[in-house]
Amino acid sequence: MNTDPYFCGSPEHDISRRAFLSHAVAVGSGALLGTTGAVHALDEDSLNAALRGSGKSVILLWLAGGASQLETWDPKPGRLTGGPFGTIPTSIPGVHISELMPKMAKRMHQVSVIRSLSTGDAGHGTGAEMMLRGRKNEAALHYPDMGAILSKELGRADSKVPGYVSFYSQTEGRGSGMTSPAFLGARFAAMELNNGMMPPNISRLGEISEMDHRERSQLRDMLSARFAKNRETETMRSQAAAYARVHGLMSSESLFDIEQEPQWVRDCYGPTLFAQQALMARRMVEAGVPFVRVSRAWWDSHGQNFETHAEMVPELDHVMATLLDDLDQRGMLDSTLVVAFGEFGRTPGINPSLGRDHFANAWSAALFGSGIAKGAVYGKTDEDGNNVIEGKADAGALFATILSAIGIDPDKEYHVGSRPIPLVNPGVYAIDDILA
Amino acid sequence: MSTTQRTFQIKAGKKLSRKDIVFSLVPGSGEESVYFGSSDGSVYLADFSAEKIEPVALTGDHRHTSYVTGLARTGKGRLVSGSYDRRLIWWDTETGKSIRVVEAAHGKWIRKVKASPDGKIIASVADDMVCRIWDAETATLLSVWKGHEEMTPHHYPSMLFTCEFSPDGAYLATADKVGLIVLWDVASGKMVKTFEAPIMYTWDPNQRRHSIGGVRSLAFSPDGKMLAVGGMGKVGNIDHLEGKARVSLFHLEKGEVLAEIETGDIKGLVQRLAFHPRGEWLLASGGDNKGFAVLIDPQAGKTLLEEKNPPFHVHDFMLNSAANGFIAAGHNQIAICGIEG
Amino acid sequence: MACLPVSASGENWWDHLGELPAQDEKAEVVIDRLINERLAKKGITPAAKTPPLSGLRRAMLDLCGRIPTVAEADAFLADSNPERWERKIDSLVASPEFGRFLAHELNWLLMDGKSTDFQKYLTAAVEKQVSWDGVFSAVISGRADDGDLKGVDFYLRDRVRDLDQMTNDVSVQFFGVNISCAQCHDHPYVTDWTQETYYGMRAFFTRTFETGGFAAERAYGEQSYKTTKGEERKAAPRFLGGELVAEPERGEPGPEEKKAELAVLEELKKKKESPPPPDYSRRSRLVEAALGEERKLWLARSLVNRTWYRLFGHGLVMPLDQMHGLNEPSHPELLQWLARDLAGHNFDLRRLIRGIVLSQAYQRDSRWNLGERPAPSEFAVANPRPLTPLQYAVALKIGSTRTGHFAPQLSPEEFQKRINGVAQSGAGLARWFARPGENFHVAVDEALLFSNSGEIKGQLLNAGLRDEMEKLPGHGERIALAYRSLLNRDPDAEEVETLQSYLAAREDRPREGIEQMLWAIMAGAEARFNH
Repeated sequence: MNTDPYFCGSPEHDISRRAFLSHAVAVGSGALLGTTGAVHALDEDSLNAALRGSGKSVILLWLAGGASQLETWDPKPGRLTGGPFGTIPTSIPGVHISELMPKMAKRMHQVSVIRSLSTGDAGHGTGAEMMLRGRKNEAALHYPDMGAILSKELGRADSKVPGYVSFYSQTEGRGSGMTSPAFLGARFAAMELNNGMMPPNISRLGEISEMDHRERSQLRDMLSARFAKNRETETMRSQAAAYARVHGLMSSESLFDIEQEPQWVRDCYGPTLFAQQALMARRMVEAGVPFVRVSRAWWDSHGQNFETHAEMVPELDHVMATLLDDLDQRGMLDSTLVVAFGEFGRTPGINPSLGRDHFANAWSAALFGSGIAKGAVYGKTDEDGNNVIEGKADAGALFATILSAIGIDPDKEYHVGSRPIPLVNPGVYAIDDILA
Repeated sequence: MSTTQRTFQIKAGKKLSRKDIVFSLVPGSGEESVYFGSSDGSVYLADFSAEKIEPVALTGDHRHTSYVTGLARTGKGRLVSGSYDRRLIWWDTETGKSIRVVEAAHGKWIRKVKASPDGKIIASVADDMVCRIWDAETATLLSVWKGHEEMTPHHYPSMLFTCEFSPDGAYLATADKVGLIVLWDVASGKMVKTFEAPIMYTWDPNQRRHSIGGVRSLAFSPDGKMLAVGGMGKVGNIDHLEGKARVSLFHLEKGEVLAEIETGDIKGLVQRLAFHPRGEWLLASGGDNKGFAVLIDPQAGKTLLEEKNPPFHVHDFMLNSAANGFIAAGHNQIAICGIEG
Repeated sequence: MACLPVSASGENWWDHLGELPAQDEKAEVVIDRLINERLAKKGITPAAKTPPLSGLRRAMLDLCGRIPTVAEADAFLADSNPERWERKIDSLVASPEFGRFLAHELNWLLMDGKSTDFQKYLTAAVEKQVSWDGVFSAVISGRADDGDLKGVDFYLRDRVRDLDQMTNDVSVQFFGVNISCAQCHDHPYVTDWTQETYYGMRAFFTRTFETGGFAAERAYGEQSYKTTKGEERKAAPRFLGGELVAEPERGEPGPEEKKAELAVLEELKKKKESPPPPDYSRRSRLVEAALGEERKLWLARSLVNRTWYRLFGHGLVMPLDQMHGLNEPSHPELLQWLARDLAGHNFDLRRLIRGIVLSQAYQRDSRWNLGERPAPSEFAVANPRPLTPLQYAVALKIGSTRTGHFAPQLSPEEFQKRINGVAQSGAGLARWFARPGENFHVAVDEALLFSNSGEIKGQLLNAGLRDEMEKLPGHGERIALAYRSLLNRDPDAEEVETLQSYLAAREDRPREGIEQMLWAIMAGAEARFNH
């Protein structure tokens, strides 16, 4: 009996995948782009230039609400804290993960896991804010989140695709997992796709013809340019730049259309929303979007932790594995970094509702792709999972690791007024052991 | 005096505190002797009539490596345990030793193990969504019954939480996460009919895209005319077991709903249901962060008593022979409770 | 994070000021003299005065949060009184619109624009002409029992779970100093600005705690902190590194006393009543310390600087939260004089705003035709400022309304009622825009919204102005009406020519042509900025 909920085992699909793979290898990256359907609508020259530009992208699988490290990357079999799930061996000899992740177990040699996150904040709002920024906001200085920084560092000013896309379809925790460009400004704000996958206002209203839409814009630009003469400011330029991007973004409308993906690819990812959004993330990264967050809410299993994880971890396992294979087969794994974590992990102690509560003292994150060591397991927790006993890493270290992995110097500084603001706080370092 | 005019009370008495979580409970040798299955993977025998209760773990060549969620007595000195480790283990109650194991009895977690009233067969249900029927003596697999979808309508793995034989042994009912209850003809292995309690699924498509409910308990009335189905009602926030405890009563023959019973302020899952031997009441017990017991008048379809006792989340209980008390087992505790009234 | 050097005694810019103008001079006169003196020294000739209607638009946006109606603009132009500007400003400052908008802006300063009862408090306080030191005092006391003070407690309630934020917000918002970096370490260069400074400030709030949703205060409790070397120290309350606040010894209460206190609090919680103030309140000491004769200039300088920033788009001190002794203002004597004038006149914000708006410096043109544009700190030319969400939304709403809706013959009450109605309908539209801060960038979302949203079409294009334009006989009249209504000026010849040909090319679909022209104006830079 096939207990795999996702339809990927069909021989027909195998043929497609093989054909696809050999085609890609034989013809090179041009063919890869050609098969996506995403980029046909875009100007291919500028798109390729975008890809050549920074070439790097990041996909954050944001496990909102806090997934359990014990039911994923750091199981404690045989302990009362370990819960009922068994463990399985992985493709790294001696390393076991939860039995709920058989697909990732087979691919562990391509992945790095940090088992020693100790981040010190077990509140949804404050924890999420910190994990998305690598540090806590200060009362008077709010920091840009990871996506805003990467959009700035990896994106191109005239890009026809967005610099930062964030999916967050469930409502719980959306407020606490808020994205923010802070002092970087709205140019680097996330395009938030919370309802459906199509961005708001990207399609022309039916009542206006395409020609009128364009000429109306030209009229606006002309009147505005006359006004701006002798009084142009940085903010005024940003308004002109925003309107200048409108038609480019509108032409990328098909980028947001999942129907453009071949059916067999969609089948491989599977029918769930998280899976479809992960596919969209791959599609966007392929078209040059530097940062995509795919949020899967809501892991907050205060009651029935094991039923919750029995429900949600197989989906995570499947989505991560499919994304890994897909990026690998498209030759995008060296340029795309995928990271999976949320605001914290969950308590080793099991409460009377058979739940696990918030826990930031000893938890895990997984990373693969660009700049990440293959098959590294970093850090260690004690036998019950209560404390980190080796390689303690905080939010800053994880943030610095992500920046380093895609070739951004974490010590780089921005300026707010005259204040220099390094990308990570002074004294915070990347975890070299999991960098390739 | 009719049941509805009586005033009931449930009081927790003698108790045994534990570090583990107790998931299953069946009678031992005497009135207050029990076998129980633990989160530590062991099956214990404990005598609650003793001054100092000292549970003894059963031993032998076979043991479980995960939560022991199903226990069944077959009457011939045999005890069968089922676990999330997918194993079924047969025990000799005389020697207290394991005698036989069926490895990979199911493809996923075993949720419940029940013996038929005549003790001849054993039914096990698991998250592989099948019910397996075993020869209670030889452990031979007799039949595999498939009537529950493996995936929920929202493409997540479903769960087959519980099963129960009818008092005459003619039927077996099985119930799953999405609220589907299947009635099987035991002799033929055919599906007789289905009942539905979809509210117990608790799927939240918008806020959290996740569910935690399911039908957790079943009970046939002593006359075999009624089927009680236990779980939890609608939940606003499925991070917690905060839906109202809920029982649906079905007319077995007609298949129709006789009553939907939702508690006043008691919240959590109904983990176990049992009818009074003469059908005077129906006892429902379970919990959220704490425990509860609810007495229901099955004729009136109303609760007689809603009590936040036992004080711990109850996973299983067994009525005593006089039906004036029960032993409840659950989170870090086993306790004797009296039903007064 | 790096910190700027902050105040050390004797090094402060205010210790080395030149002679200040006389106290009884008019603010606008002092402003212009000091600004122009510096311009003359640098050999900069400031920009000419902006055209009358441009000035009117600017002042009405700043003072009332909206643009003038066509009738208001006509009336202003028709006024031949040489003092029409002063008369107009006086009437604006006295109008209820001014109070409402000022309260809205202050709510952004203090509460990030959140809609709470605090905004109601601010609105009432502005209306009753409560002075700024009075607002400060009420906010810090946090006592809302009296009817006039209803809602004032939300400032502290909103921050009571994070006393570091409370400490820093009060320092930044009222005094323009950000001392948060001294939370973790002493300043490396300036020995006076230390962890003790930060924790001395925090000590005023350390007895504040949350109970039943209220921010209550105890009569006991000490502030301690760890030095960078790990040493544990006690911090006594002192205002921004100033002298110690002398206070009575107060030890921790015994367990019985604490139990009784807890019981009282539980009782109040049940009744949903706020706990009474302690017999000795550190927050009251903060109010006394901050409003002392010398110290109150901190409060005044920060308010002057923020007001100046709001009206010029650039502060006399930048950044706004670095108003310490080593960060010299562009015009130190002017800031000090205005602060002293404000403090000496009961912290009357209306008076301050009136003075600034009457100055020539405020009324300059925003165009600079003579080579490199001078630095914004010279105030030689007006700085185009992006509109706030409310300003932009209400301006578009008023501008796209049929001009007859605001006919000159309406009674003042009816006129006000109609303005309020349109302004209120603009509040919904305002939610789509971002609040500008320093270094503000317009987001592409805004451009997409304008380009493709049915909201824009439904609320602004398909509106009264369009219908009125359709009824006009010729394109010239239509273009003129659109400009006067939305941009408060007449179009120039080149604009008329461009737009006429745009409309002429759409003779087969005249309504669409008009809507497209209106769109191009509304989404354009001129409508988006206060210039």
